[in-house]
Amino acid sequence: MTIFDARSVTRLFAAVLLAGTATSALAGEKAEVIHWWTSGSEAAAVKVLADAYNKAGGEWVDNAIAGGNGNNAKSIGINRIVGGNPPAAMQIIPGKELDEFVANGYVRDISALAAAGNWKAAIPSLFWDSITRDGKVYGVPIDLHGQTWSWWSIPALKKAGADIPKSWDEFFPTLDKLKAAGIIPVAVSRDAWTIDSMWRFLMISKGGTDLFKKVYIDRDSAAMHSPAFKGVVETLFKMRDYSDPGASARNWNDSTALVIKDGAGVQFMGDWAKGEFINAGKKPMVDFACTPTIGANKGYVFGGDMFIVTATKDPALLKAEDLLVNTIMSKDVQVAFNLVKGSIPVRNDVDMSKVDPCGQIGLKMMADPANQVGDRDFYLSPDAIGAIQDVLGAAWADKNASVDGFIGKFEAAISTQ
Amino acid sequence: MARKQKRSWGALLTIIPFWVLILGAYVGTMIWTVFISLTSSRMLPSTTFVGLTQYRRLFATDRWNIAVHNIVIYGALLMTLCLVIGFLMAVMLDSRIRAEDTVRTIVLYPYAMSFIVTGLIWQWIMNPTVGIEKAVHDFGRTGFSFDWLVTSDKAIYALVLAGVWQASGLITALMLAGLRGIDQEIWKAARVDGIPTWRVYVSIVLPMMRPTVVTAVVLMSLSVIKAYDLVVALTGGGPGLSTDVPAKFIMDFFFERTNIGLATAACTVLLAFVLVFFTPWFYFEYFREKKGNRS
Repeated sequence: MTIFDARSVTRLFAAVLLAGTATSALAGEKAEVIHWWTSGSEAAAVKVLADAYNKAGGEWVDNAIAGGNGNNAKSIGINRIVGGNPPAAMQIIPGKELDEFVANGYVRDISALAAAGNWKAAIPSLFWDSITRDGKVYGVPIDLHGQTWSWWSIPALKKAGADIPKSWDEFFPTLDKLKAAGIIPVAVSRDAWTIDSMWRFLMISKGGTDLFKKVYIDRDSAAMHSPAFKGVVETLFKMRDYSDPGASARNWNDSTALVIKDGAGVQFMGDWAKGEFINAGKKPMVDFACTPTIGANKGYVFGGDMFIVTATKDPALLKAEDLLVNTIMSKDVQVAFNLVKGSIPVRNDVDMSKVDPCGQIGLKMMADPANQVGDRDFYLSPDAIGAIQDVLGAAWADKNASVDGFIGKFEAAISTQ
Repeated sequence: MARKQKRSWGALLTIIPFWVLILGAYVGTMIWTVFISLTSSRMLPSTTFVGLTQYRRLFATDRWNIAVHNIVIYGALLMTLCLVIGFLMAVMLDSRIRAEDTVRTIVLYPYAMSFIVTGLIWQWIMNPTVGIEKAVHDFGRTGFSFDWLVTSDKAIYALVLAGVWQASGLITALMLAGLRGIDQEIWKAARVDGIPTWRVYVSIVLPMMRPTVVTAVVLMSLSVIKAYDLVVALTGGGPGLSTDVPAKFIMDFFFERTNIGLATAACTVLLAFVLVFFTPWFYFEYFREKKGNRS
């Protein structure tokens, strides 16, 4: 046996070492962008962005990393930054996430670009706050998503002889009618974050913007023990009777499919669900109806997506980043991108006439600052959000959960640092 | 002589990467994990030392305690059931049945499936709206209910069921190998003495198969500690938190909740658990065995 003689082993070793060093270094004008937009409509939207950037003279290097809420993409981006081989830009969720990037000096200050592009006047003030730290701009906002919508199947409602409830008094009677017609009233999914979507819909729509803000921004204990809050909890608990056992095996889009096929009456989900309806060939306000609130309370819980550009001294990369930022924030790109993605532009100084009926409702809501409510990501750490979802998920699954017990746990969870 | 020298050089060079790998990838990361668990790290590793704060928070977290409780139930039931079923099936296979090869293949087949596939299959089977419950209802027995998967206090048994289905084949194969290793003379002697068959199995064969049983337990306890993919595919930790396990807790806090300080604290607790409870036992078992062989 001479397979393992010294020479061949050293040669093999050298080859392995060489292979290790061969991959590295980002070239000049190219801008590599890490994001997690991989579903059908998302990928199409990214293509809009990439085409615009290439047309402007850059070279878009796409690095789409699949995985639900972007955790894979973010950890790869962070590893690349820490490892000294950063991408030009990476996607993050507006809110607390930016803090650590800024504190560690990983993000580039783009205040000059923001001033030149007149961003401050054009984007909602809450979103502006979330991309700035100590008066400096660190983020590039690209879209606004409504996080709390209800999606109703119009044929299912017709079959049950019901209508979309106009007040909370009509809510449960409507669900009862759906149930009596043999339709699953509420399409619930197994993951705790989907329960959280439903919960926040109730918070904004039944509880109202004031309660929502007091609870999520001020973490006000009195508000969490108020009758209004209790009412929201009771409504959530009551909705358990309008779900079905199949829920614990469904993902959010399986539940959307159930509404699309008129097997369920309503789903509570962010506006990304709209993409599923439209992909299935359904028409808004004909086949399905959308409403961000029920009853008198108005409020639009919004989140969004943003990019950060990485701090660098490489002049070529700086140039590529400048071009990228200006492309993303240009009015045409904002409109074109968001039309494909199903969200609405962050800039309010663009032409909105092409937006679909559901998007129009959202735009109308967002037009009044009193209705603008930032989603919890703006105020809470991912840790606290997760803790709340644990509480919600457990309470939803436990039919014996008490309202007071829930409130105690909710308060503890939201206080997580 | 010269040739021999050359060869050992080669051997040394070959072994170096493995040592680097073991020291760097296993021991190194273990030390790093313990270190990070003592810091205030959140999304990114930091070096701000905070002592045992993360551990205090960990043990005060409901979800962690539920996860530990669940893994104990899952582990105990899985191991007991797999050992019993595995042994019984091995005995059956060992009694010279017809088409032994076919049966053996069928029994071992589930083990060839990944936990993800196992989880998905059982999710469909146990889903009340499409699986067994619906099938029985369609046959006309509408009173029948099989809702383990969707009921908080039964979902952990659904997990055990899927786990046992997957793992008992391997245990059967191990046990069968153990049984085949028993000297046939012992059976002859027992028959001459008129000892009933079950008695031979329980009092003579089983004690002789101790090394096999130990191996089976070691393999299973490793898979229990690692339990993650089966849970994710079958229940996603739910309903609520009713099937949460430590590995899922750790993954969630690492990647979703970006709290690597707490996640590494949980890792360290798991590691400590393994070291404190399993190592002395493994050591005892293997050490004892060696000694026994020598004497």
